[in-house]
Amino acid sequence: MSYRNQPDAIRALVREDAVHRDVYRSQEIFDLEMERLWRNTWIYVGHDSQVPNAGDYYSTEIARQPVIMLRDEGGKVRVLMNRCAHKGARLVSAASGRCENRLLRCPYHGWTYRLDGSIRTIPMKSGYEGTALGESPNSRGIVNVPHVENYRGFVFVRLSERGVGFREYFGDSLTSIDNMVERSPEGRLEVAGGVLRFMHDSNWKMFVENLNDTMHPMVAHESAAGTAKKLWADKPEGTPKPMAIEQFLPFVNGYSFFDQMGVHIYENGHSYTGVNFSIHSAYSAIGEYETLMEKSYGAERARAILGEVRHNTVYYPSLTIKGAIQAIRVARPIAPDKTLIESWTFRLAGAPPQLLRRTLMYTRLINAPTSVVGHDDRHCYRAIQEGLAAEGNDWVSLHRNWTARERTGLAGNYNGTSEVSMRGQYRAWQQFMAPETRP
Amino acid sequence: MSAAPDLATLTQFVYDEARLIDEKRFEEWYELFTDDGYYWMPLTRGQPDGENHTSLLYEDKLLLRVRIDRLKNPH
Repeated sequence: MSYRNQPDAIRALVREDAVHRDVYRSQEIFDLEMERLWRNTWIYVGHDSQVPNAGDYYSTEIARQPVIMLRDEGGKVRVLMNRCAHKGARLVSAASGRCENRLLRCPYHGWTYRLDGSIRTIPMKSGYEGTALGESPNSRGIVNVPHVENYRGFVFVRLSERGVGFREYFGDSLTSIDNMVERSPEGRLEVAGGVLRFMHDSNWKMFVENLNDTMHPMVAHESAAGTAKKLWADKPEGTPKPMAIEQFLPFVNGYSFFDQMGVHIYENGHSYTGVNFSIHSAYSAIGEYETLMEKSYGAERARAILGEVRHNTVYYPSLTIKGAIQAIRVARPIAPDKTLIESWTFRLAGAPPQLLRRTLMYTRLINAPTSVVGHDDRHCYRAIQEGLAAEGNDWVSLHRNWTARERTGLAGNYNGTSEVSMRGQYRAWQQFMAPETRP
Repeated sequence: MSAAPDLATLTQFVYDEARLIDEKRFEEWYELFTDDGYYWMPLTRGQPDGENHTSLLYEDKLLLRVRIDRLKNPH
C-alpha cells in the first residue's frame, strides 16, 4: 500500500475505535510521520537548566534532524540545526558541552559561527570573491529552528515555518508542567542525576499508548511489583515501608483503583491519568519539605500543589512527565520498529535532597533499561511489533469504553481504564498526517 | 583477623560470580551478599554514589530478592 500523496488512504488507517497495523510497521508511514506530525507539532528538545551559561550546548535529534540547544550571548535559549552552512557537517558531536570562546567551529574546514548562528570567520575568505557564495543559502549562517518556546524551562520547537501556535496546541495540559515546577519551593527545576537511555525495538506509538494504559500494570507488572508485594506481606503491621516498596506496590493495585483514578483528555492528543489520585498519592512525607512549601506558597496553595498527583501526562507526540515524582521521558523515533526513550530527572530547587534521591530511585526501579518493571513493558511492545507481522486481521483494537459521545468531541474526564486517551492520540495523528481530508 | 585475599583469589571470585549468573544459579549468587551489600552498576564513570546520581542498578538485598523472585512468576 502506498501512502504518500494518498491522504484518504492515510486517514483510513484510523477508525474511531481501531487503528490499522500499518501505522506501526510501514516505513513510508514512519517517514510521513517525521515529515508531518513531528514537524508540524511542538516537540520537546530539552530543559534550559541543561544550558545555564552562554555558550553551553546540548545536542539531540528532532524528527531525525540533528539540532543544538544552546544559551546565547544575551542569555536566551536557542535551537539551531546542527549543520555547518558550508558543506553540512555536524558542528558538535558530543551530547553536551561548552562552546570554546563562545563560538561554534566546524571541525572540517574551520568555519566559525557566533552563538546566534551568524558566520564569524571563513578561512581564506578571499577565495570566495567573485563567486555567488554571498547570494547562496550557504552564506546565511547556521539555520535557526524557526519556532522555539521555552515554557517554564521546558524548551519545545516546531520545525515547520507555519502551523499551530504553542498555547493553542497544548491548551490547559500545560498545567501539568506548572504543577511540577511549583513543587519546588523556589519555583524552579534543574536537570539532575544523569539520563537513562533505553532503546526499544518497537514503534514510538506503542510507548505513547502505554503511558495512560491502566489495564496492563496489574498483569504485565505482576511478576515484579507483585513479588515486591508478596515479600512485604509478611512484615508486621505498621513496619515503615522502604521507599522502593512504596514505589513498587501501587503498580499492582487492582482494576478499580486504576478505574477510579480517572483520565483527563485534552485536544491534540494530550492527556493525563490520575485525575482523582494516582500511584504517587501514598508516598511518605519527606522531612521539612512541606514546611518549606508552606513558607513559599502559603498553607492552602501548598496543599493544592501537593494534592495534584497526576501520573503520566502525555504531551503528544514526544514527551511524558510525572510531576509528582519529577521525572520525564522523551521519545526519539528512529525507525518504524526502533525508538530511543530517555528518562530525565529533576531536582526541585530549594527542596531537601531526599526528594531527588526518591526521584532517582523511581527512575531506576521503573524506567531504567535494567528496570524490572520497564522490562515487562518493553517485552510487550516488542511482542506487538513482532505479532503484527501475522496476517488475518489488519486492525488493532482501541474499543475500551468507547461511546458515541466521542463523535462530537473528546475533551473531558473519563473512567481511568478507558482507552479514550489512545483514541485521542490517533485523532490528533489523523489531523496532522492528512490535514487535506479534514472531516 | 584473617589476611586480605590475594589478587588471584579475588579474580577467581569474580569469574565464579559471573558463572553463577550465567548459569542462572541466582539463589547461590544471592547468598554471596552480606545483608548490607549492594549490587551497583553505575551509569557514568566517576559518578559520586548510587543515591545522588542515577545508576543502571543500585540494589540492596531486598531489591535483589524482588529481581530474583519475579522470575519464578509463571508470567
